[in-house]
Amino acid sequence: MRDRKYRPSLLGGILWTGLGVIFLLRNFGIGPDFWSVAARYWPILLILLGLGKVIDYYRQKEGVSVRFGEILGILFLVLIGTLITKITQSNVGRVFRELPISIGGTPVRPGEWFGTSYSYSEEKSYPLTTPTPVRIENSYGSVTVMPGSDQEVKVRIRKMVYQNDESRAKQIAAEIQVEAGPEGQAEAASFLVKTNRDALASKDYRFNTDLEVLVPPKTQVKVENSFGEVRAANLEGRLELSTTHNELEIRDCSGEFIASNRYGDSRFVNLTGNLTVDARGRISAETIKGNVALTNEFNAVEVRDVDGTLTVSNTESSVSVEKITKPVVINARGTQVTVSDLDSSLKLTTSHRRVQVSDVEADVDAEISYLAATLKNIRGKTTIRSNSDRLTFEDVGALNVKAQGTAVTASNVNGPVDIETTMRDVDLSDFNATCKVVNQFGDITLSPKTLGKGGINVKGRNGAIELYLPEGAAFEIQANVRNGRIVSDYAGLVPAEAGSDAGTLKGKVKSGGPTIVLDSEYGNIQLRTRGSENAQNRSN
Amino acid sequence: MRKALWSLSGILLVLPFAGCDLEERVPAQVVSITKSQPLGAEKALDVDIRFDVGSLEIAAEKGASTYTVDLDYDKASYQEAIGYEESGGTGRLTFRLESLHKLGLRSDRHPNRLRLGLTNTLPVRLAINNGVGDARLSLTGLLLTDLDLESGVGGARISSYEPNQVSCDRIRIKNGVGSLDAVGLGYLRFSDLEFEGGVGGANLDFSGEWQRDAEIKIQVGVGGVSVKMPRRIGVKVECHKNFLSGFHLDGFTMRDSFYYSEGYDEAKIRASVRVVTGVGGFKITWL
Repeated sequence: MRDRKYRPSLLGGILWTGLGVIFLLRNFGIGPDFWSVAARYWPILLILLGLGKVIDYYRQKEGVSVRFGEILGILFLVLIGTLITKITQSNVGRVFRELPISIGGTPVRPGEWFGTSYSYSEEKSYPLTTPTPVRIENSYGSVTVMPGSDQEVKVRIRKMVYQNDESRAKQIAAEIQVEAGPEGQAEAASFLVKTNRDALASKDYRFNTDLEVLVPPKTQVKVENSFGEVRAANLEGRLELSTTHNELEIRDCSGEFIASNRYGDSRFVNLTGNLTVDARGRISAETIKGNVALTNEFNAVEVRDVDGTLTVSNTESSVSVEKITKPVVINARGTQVTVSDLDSSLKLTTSHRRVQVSDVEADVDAEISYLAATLKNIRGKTTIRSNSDRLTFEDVGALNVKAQGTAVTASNVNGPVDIETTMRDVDLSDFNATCKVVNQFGDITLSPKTLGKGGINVKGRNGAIELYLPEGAAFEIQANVRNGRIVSDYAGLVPAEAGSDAGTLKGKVKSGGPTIVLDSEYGNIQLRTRGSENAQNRSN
Repeated sequence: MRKALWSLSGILLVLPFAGCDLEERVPAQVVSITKSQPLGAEKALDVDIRFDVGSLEIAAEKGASTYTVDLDYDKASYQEAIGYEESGGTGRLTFRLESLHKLGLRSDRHPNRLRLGLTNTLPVRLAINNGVGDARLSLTGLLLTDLDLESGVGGARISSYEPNQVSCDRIRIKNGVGSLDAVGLGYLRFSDLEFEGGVGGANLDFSGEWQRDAEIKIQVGVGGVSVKMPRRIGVKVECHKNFLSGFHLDGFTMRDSFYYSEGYDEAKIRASVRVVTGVGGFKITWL
């Protein structure tokens, strides 16, 4: 026992070596991010430790036991592991990655620093004799467009040269130039601002160029950038901005806005005019007076406070829409959709993720599949075409669901109900108008608040039908089951046995009420009074 | 044992600070290239991709191009090769991005990234070997006849949200280290699907408009495999498990050493699933 106690640990050695190899490979750019792997797979350590104990047990049965210290250690490991999982799933990592560090007065994000660098700034002005559209080209650096004077274009360039030798850096900076001037002919003419990066391409210089361009406040501006941020503010006119890998932002402008961003995030705040965006990074649009059209893949879209129509196309991410005055169209496959506070209609196509819609003043039309959807406070008609969903409706107007393999739960429906589904249950409560339900291979439970003039028409194939009617309701009923039984709470309504396992029920309670038709192929029919659900549930 | 645990905990606490060096790094030479091939006389397209390190996206595209490549990569450390030839009515696209195996520390601020758009007008055979990094195959709209995905280290996601307009004879997915999510596999109209799990979990969602019977072979590695099936599909499961694996089948009954789903005999479309479990669980739930 004593010898075993001081025997070197093979497991510890393997772990140290393995971790060292992982970090070394990572430093060479090989392998996944350690923390994202650790966050997911840390329980494998527990498995390995457990397997070690099992092997120890078989090797030396008498010498193996679980010690209090080990239990504490395992609990500590679980705690640390869980903490890493939580941290990597939160935004903490992103906050740290985006945290700028000031080096020599220059804000640098971790990972962006390539070694010694020197920055040089210049400013040049170019007169404009007539109002001319401005076109700006840049790459590897930011572009900021701001309002300046009506008669000129002013360009401030900041050249960041990555070079260890300061005098060499200064020479390179001198070669980096802004090239600005009119381009094109007559009506198509515009004023072009760009750098001479292309001319320097063969020289293998490493540099970034940040451009600040002051243009006439009322002018058309087109920016084509790559690997750099683009920002525009306080301008009037048509803005057409694009970049590839960094943020794009337009705020406090009026006119027309067209933006594209291949991978970076895009943000639009306080704009007057139509906005069209095609981007693969996150899109955020807030306080827009005009029509908005957004196309996006694989990243989140957030839109808030739009006085106009909204069209969103997204794939496999999330769409959040709030406070829109005119019709909204969302086409989002594999996307989580949250919509609230619409003054007009909603047309939605989505699948595979959660949908939440609330507070819509007009109609909702949705084509959905393989998801769970909750719709609340819909004032207009709700029309759903559904496949294999779980639908929950609360406080909606007229309801029309055509589905297969979909479960439907609805309460407080203030209009006609028409539901067709298969293989899942239908549960409706507190509706007050005409109700038609067809279901195959699923139960149907109905509990109307009041009976609508059009009555209730239910057809089931394989599944029970339970109907809980309001106390004192007047109605005429025709119930028919070919393979099942009919049970009635109403003393005056006694089912007639049509065979050994079939039944019919025809009759009337009071006069002047609507007609209820219940038809089932396989499954029992129960006719109850409201309030007996609880007793029924208790007995079940 | 206790010493090892304390050592591990120490490592976990110290490691967050280990990556915070600000030593000089070899600058990445990130370049972007875009390349496309106009549609010609091809009647089919074979695509063969080998992507060593980085993030890979594949999607269907409308338009007049057979393919469109948008590639960002670190020219200092990797070499790209894009080849295309047409013979016998079949276009063959080969893509390689391979490491130059240079030594030195470099910034990972701009990882390699490939977006490959493939025409939605030609039947496509797709073979992908993804080394280190995420792969996202957005197959909606592609006319997919064959898929072979080999994923190394990193996650992979496969999705389809509309019915494939042609039959897909075979799907083979081999997952290395990392999770795999597949959504809408039922839309692909496959007849044979083979999944080989590595280290990491996998979610296989077979939602979609199934149009024919299918054979599915699943080999579970280390980590669980979760399968989601539409209710209308009749499923028969043959399971080979060991003492390190868990098995959960919701709504199945056993007959003649096979597990059958409820309504299997009446189902118009059936799936035969053969599962070989490793270290981890396997389960089927219903959509």
